[in-house]
Amino acid sequence: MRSTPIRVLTGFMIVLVMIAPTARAELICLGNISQDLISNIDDLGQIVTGEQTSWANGSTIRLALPGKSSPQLEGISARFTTSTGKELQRHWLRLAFTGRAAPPKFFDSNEALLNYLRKTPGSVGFLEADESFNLDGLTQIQIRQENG
Amino acid sequence: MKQDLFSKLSLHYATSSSLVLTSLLCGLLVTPKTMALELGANWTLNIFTDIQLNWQDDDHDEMSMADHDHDEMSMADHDHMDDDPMGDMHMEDSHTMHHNVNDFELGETVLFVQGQATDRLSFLGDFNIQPKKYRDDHHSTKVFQVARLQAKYQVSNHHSILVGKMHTPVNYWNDNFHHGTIFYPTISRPLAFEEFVPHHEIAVRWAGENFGQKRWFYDVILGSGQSAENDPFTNGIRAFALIGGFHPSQRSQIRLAYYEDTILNHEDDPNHTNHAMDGMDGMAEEGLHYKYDTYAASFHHESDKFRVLTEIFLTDSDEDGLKKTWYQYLGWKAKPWVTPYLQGDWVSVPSDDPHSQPGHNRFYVIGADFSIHPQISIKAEFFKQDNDRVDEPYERNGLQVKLSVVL
Repeated sequence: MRSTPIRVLTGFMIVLVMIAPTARAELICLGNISQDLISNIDDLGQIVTGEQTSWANGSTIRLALPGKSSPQLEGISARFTTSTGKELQRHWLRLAFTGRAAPPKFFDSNEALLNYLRKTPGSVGFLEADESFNLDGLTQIQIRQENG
Repeated sequence: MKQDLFSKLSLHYATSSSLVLTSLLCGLLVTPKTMALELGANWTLNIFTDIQLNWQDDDHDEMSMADHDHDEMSMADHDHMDDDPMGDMHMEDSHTMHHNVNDFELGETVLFVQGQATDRLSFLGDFNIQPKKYRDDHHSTKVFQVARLQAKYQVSNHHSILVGKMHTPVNYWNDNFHHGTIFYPTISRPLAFEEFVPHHEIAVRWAGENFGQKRWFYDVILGSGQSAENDPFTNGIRAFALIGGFHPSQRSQIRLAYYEDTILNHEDDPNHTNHAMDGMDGMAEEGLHYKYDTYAASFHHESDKFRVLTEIFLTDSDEDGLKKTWYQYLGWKAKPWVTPYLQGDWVSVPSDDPHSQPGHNRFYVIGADFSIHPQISIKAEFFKQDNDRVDEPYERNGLQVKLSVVL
């Protein structure tokens, strides 16, 4: 039978583990665009919010985002805007309705998002990094500190 | 013949009502799962729809309810009204002045299609369906209408050219949420929309945006004019618009616009009855081409806590004085999903105006927007209206509730 101090310590450790912030995977940005266009990106946040809707050569930006009820979308929204994920969705719905921008596509799985990026020239997407990703044909775009 | 038309209208009414209710139900059931319906790889479809409930205390009992109570009105009456321009004018009066007395209204069901043909060429279609008896533009006999049908070519990252039927971007409201009631900050559009704002234009539009830190933008529009309705350039280029603006901060926008147009054969133009009120016939010269200029200013700001929208619209012509309208909205985001708000809306038309009913119309609201889901919104408003721009001036108070859904 364990002594009281050991039980207290064990309980304390369990509580610590429970309340400790969960380590979140790193957010990465991938694009199916040329290196020239990547070097012309001023602010990824403007792409997430639809302020920038076309690349420097005039072609349309096709934005891909994680599923609309996913915690990843909340993370992206918190990083690039002061809105919640739901507010970001409403914002995009409104923007698409004006005809000013192509609406983003939301994907419930990383695999589907990556497939879309590979198949769609001019696309850019955000997702949480995973070492198992096959990034063939895609270019990672650095998310600078001022981007988020 | 009349019976045939009645039957046809009844069918349209039943069909369109079913469509509105079905899309509303589908929207409520499906919205948690999808943001838009995918039509192939590069095309999407959204369906916007809404219903509205109204209760009001109307002290204007001199007017017979036969003129106003659309619920009581049979489709045969509608048929008759179509043959009677004066009758139609009465119908317009009630809608134009926000004087709806329906207890229940079906809103528009908007089919919004967007597609990317190439990396620079995109298309947009905005089609709406609404039972005729609930339409604001009641003189129209159409259940189905094309609100927008436009092609956009992205010339460079800052410039694009648009061709087709489009929303005239003369103010923030018309450019951002003309038929999307879920985006409206308030239940009703500004009063100016019913008479003075040129909603649509078949036009060629050259647009530029995102210049500099303040993201300056401009639009130059050459249009068919309001008299042409859906016939592209049937009278040549009749309308011209120049719009410019910038973003003082990331979530603010200031916009100024100038628009000019000539309504041809002012008295005969079907839109005339949309504007003119009782007693206006004969005030304008027969065959007069009514040239008018409009000046608009919009300010929109949205922060995490507040949202402000100001829409000022001034209309002028050689024949009359300045018609002034001002819509003001102030919302406080108490919670991410609830925004209480205040609205004031004023219209003033000088006494010698030959085209619009002189007088004042004032509309005040205290309300709240419950955005329970990105694609579902419920708005509730207490309102007060004081309108002397009709033969029988009235004051009224009421409550209106609107449910808007987008699938």
